[in-house]
Amino acid sequence: MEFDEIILQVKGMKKYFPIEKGLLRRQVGQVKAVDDVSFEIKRGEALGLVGESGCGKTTLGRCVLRAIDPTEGEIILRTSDGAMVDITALDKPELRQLRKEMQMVFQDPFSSLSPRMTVLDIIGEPLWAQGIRGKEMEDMVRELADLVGLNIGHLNRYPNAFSGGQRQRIGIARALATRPGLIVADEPVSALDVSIQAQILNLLQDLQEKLSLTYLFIAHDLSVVEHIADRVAVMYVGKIIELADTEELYLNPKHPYTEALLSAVPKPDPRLEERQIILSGEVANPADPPSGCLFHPRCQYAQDRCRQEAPALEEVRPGHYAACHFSKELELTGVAI
Amino acid sequence: MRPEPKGEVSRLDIDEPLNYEILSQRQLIWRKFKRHRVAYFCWLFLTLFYILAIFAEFFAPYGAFTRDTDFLYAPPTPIHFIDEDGAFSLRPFVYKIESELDLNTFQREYVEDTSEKFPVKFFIKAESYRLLGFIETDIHLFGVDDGAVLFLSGTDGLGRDLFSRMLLGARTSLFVGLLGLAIGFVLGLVFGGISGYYGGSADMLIQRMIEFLQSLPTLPLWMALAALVPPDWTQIQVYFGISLVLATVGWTGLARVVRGKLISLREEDYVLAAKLSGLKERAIITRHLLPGFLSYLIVHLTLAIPHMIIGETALSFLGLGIQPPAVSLGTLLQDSQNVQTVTINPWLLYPGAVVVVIVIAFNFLGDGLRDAADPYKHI
Amino acid sequence: MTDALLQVKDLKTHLPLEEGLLKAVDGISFTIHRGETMGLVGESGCGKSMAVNTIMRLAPSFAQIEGEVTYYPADGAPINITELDPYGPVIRDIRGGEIAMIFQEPMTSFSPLHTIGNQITEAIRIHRTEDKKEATKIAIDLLQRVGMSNPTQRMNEYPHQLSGGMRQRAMIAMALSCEPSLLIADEPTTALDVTVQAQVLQLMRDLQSEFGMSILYITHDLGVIARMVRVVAVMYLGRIVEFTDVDSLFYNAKHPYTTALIQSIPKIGKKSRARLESIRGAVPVPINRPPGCGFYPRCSAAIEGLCNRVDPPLIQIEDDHAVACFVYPEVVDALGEGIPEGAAHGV
Repeated sequence: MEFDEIILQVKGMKKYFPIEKGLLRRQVGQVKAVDDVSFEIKRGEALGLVGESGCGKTTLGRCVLRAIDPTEGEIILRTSDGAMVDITALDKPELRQLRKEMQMVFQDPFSSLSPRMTVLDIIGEPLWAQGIRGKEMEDMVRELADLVGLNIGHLNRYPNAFSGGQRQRIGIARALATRPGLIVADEPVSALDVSIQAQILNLLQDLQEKLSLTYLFIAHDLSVVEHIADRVAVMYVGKIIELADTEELYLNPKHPYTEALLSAVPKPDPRLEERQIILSGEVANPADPPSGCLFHPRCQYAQDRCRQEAPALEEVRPGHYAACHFSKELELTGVAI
Repeated sequence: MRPEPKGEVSRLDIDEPLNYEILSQRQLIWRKFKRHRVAYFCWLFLTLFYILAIFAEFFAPYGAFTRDTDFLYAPPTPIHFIDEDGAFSLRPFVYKIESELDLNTFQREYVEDTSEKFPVKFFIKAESYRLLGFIETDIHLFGVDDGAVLFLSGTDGLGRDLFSRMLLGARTSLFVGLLGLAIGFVLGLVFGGISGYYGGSADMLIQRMIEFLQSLPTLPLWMALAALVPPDWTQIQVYFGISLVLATVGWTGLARVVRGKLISLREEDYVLAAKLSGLKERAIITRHLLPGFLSYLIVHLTLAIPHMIIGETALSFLGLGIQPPAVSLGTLLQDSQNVQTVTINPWLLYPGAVVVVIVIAFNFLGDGLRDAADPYKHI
Repeated sequence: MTDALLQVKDLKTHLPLEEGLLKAVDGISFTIHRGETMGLVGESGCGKSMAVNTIMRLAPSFAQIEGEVTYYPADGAPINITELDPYGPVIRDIRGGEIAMIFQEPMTSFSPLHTIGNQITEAIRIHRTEDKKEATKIAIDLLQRVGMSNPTQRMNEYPHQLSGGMRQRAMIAMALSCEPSLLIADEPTTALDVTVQAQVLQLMRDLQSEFGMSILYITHDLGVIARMVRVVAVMYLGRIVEFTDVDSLFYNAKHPYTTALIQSIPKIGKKSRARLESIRGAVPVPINRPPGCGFYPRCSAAIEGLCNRVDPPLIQIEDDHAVACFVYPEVVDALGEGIPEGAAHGV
């Protein structure tokens, strides 16, 4: 597939949440949930976004869809008619118009479907919002349900009659209803059982090829991301610290955090008795981040420079970006393929 | 053996048979509610009571204002199944009552004249009235022929049948409660909605206002507001006026519930999904938020009705609410303000007992509904 | 291996629910030996947690329980746990004293009103020593051993002041405080981030070799299983479908469910964008389940007329390798006369 046309471009995006105290809600500080993040996604590509809980990946995904308003930065989306639109500059009615271009798949297949609506109405909701009602909507919903492998005879049931995997299919069908170009999938399989995960991952892949979708795939599970993503961005405390093609990143990580993350994944193979990198300490507090490189208190390679100077995200190899002062010198181990 | 997954998209294929029932949310709530025996019983009881109140004229043997000057402060008429001779009759009957003046105490004494039996008749023709305000009829559920009287719970100082007046009074009280509730519901929904959905300074303002209203002692506030009702208003106007007074005080709790529920629902993924689907705010509110807390609203409303009823009763008891000659449980209780009357004519307290029973029933009903409203809490 | 510590025989936990009879655990048998690590693996709803709760006599009071759970103390006569009063002193002594548990969410196992130190010393004073000073000393030592920095200071902290990983460590310290013979870990690292999970798993391995207790891991994560245990029982719909050592689980799985499950997990280090093998359908809700193998509707090797009519028994077909599947003739033979007529015979 050709990946030349950029469909989403994020430039210097920040999202700071104020910390308020007292009756008058005086601001006493801020949490830098997303701190100066830039990346782009090409049409038909799947960009994986990985990181541990609290690293800002979910906030980033929601900012991209403007489910929440970013504090700063530009989010430029190429619409289906080829125009480049800065989403952050849109007012409410304009934004509503643009909603059909980008959709979201949620993590929790239970809380993301209204328990009081039939599956028909749930999947048809984005169509309803576009003014498509009645028989026309029903036909389109049937087609969508068939597309994601749901039994079209069950459309008038309520979500509580479906299993987790089926519910996730309903959520995917809803996201596809308006034929968006961009899908933000926030941990779409992490709440599912192992045997269902594979079904949904395969479905997402099939749909991507069939409808030439672009994914921003957010997950904490590196093995899941590896399966679906063409490129992977690793986040740590609100910043992207490494970004590369999937295989490149897994084989040759250039940031010590990525290396530790890869090593920490429990491998389902009892014969693999490898050396695991056990990171000391815990993820930095984004309300009170350490000086210099955010990762230095846990980094086994940290030196004085890391404590003072924050590294920028730089191209280490063609297409491989890392935010580490020593990314060129360090010999880091990835995962053997 | 079975078809392999086919087509370009991985499919579920298997349509597993359901070995168990799938219930909609409403069915689940209803089932849970029915299991709460006391609440279910109270539900039936209140339904019956509302039917009694709506068709009060039919169930009451006499009119609310019909006076029988021979029977002032008459005690409840005894109903018999067995006559003087010990003969049993399935049809209950009463004896003619004679009133005598006790010359020692100057009290009226009512004695039965056992010579003549008057059977209790059903669907008897008596005083004419308009059922539901427009059906002209003179049929009452029960009564006795002229010559005898049937006062199930005695009479008041003007010789009016207390049982009939209680039924008619209950109608006023029960529906003032509902009307007040409807007004309070709108107020609570609007203010709670603004507070919860928009947040920010509007939220601040409304919350402080609610705190202020809640910190005022209820009774003096009611009294002050009731004093604003102009004395020249008609009965109907006073009725609405009192409902309004009750609502002004009663909406705050509801507004809090609405606000809290909205704040938590706003965070639900499916509400975010609706927003991302491009739904307008009004559509999000009506399609997702309102249905989301409807069950909680119903519970809260059920628990608020008794407050309204007590409020009306208290105001009317103090002479500030509904005024005689209009009948409500509160105005009926005015007669029992005098301790002396009460000791001699204890049946005048019966309306108070009716209030107690209604309030308790509503509380149990609300309790049961609250437990049932969360159908997913089980196991 | 060494002698038996806990023996479970044909344990059943049936829950009569409004919707029907839920056979959460439906006849499972296994034995944990002293010093052994065992894994109980399965997807959500397979009954693995309910099995453990039944063993610990923590199942809901309306559950119908059958079968035997025998605990063999180091000294003294074996105790049949299923016959104990669930609120009596004997089970309370076993719980916490002999068998300790750690859960997925440590926050629920600690009282938010007391300091970590208080709660650990209290457990020690109930089961080990009366002396307050000595109990405190043991507690501090334990916190040190589970890798908590500043243990003396941590003693005075409340559970909410600790991070998820630290809480899990404190929970492990509390579980170990009474030197249990068996530690049951119910999804101990599922709520944790990968890097913290690696820390906690490493800690549990170290502690196991240090204390030598048996551990029963309950998890859905085959990665954790591969790293942490020696023998594995795979559960599906309330039954054990395969029981073997960890190496043959990953390299010589017999049951179609196990093989499919192993194939369906995304493995790190595989070529990106490769298709995963997936299992069709979903785990059926185990309410009013029809007879026959629970995996039958999803199985590609199912034998019509046999698998959907008879429950396959768990039969040992190789050394230390038992499987409950009619694909293996040994399992069909074990039925004896019980084979239904008209069933397609053989494989």
